[in-house]
Amino acid sequence: MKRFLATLVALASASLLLLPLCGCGSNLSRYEAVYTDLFDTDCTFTAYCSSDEEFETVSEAVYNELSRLDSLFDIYDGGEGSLKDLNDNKTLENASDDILELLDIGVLFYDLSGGKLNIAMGSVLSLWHDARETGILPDDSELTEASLHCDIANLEIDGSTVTISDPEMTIDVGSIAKGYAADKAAEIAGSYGLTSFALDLGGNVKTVGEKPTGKWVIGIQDPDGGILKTVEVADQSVVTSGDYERYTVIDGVSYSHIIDPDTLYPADNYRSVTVICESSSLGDALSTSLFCMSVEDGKALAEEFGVEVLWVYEDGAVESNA
Amino acid sequence: MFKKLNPDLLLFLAIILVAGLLFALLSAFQGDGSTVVVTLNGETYAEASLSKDVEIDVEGLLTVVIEGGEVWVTDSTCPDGLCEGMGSISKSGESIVCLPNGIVVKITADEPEYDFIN
Repeated sequence: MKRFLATLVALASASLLLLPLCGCGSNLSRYEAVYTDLFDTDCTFTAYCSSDEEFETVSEAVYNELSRLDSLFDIYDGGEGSLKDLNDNKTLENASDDILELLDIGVLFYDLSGGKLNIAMGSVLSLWHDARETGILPDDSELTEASLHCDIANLEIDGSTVTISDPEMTIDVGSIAKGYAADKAAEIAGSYGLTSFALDLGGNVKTVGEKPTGKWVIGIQDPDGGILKTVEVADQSVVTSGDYERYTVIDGVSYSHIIDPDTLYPADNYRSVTVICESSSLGDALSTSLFCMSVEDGKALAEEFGVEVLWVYEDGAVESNA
Repeated sequence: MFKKLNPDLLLFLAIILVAGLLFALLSAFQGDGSTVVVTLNGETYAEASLSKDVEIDVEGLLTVVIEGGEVWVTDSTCPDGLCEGMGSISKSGESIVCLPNGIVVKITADEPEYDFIN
């Protein structure tokens, strides 16, 4: 009996050692599609599917949905009915539900963040956008002049009619559009019956279900190389706002794309802020808000929503509210 | 001189030893299975093993260098040079992106260490 037990233990140990060599029992395979022409970032759709055909069908539908939303929210190349249309003509009749919903999120988070997330500061953001293209910093006088036209109260939404009553004001939803789009694209993928998939829209990860092998693993990078922290989730979004996502270097100084509405300059409190919660729209809006807020104010806001937050400081230290 | 060893223990050790050897042998043969995938405008342009040193010229747009298990890009024609600024990557799940050229360089594996890196 003793010998039998010893053999059993040995065999169990042996099979444990050999386990990683065998494929898992699932008949689902991992597929991945990368799109580089949407939302000015790289987008990845990852899914566990039973056949090539299944993945291709869903991937195409996901791409089409993302592309549709990208066009609607695009303030540079969008067509009729887009936010470019709204910015150019200061009015949009019969605005699409997606635009109305996104603008509502923007207005809500303006209040919740104490003005740190402001979708009405397109005039300021476009100066920084130009700076990233030309490599020339905007004049302080230009920034100050632009900042006079960022009052979100001048964005009026009446039913499906949107009006901007300040002729110099423009809308820029770059801080919240990807999160919203990830939620919407996930609905599409789910409608095809997929139960294990994820979308990554440039640091905006939304996971649905688990992988056949367990939770999704997301690394929070050290901007100077390597991984600072590993987050494991299922049915959650992990949204990171980081100064390394989009930036330009002018005269040896790095300028990131997240502009603090109060200083009119890139916020530099953190290297990144990550929000972990179910809704990717919420995660995106919160991560941008928190990037411009003190940790104390940020923790209070995070608590209101019951979300987990990771702040990464300049020296790579990570602070969590968990 | 030597105390006779318990045969149960011997059997136990023998099986562990054989399993361990087998594991090491198989691992060595299949490497860590990481592949560097280069996509151009969403289509796979090239695939290469992470464990073999090689340089890949992507249509003259940029060069992907794989060396000593690390991957980086050089000679990019893009205006912003952000892809070169990303430095080197080495873990499955990590990627280097050059949006102006529509190029993504990603380290993949059957079950990557990281599904996404933020």
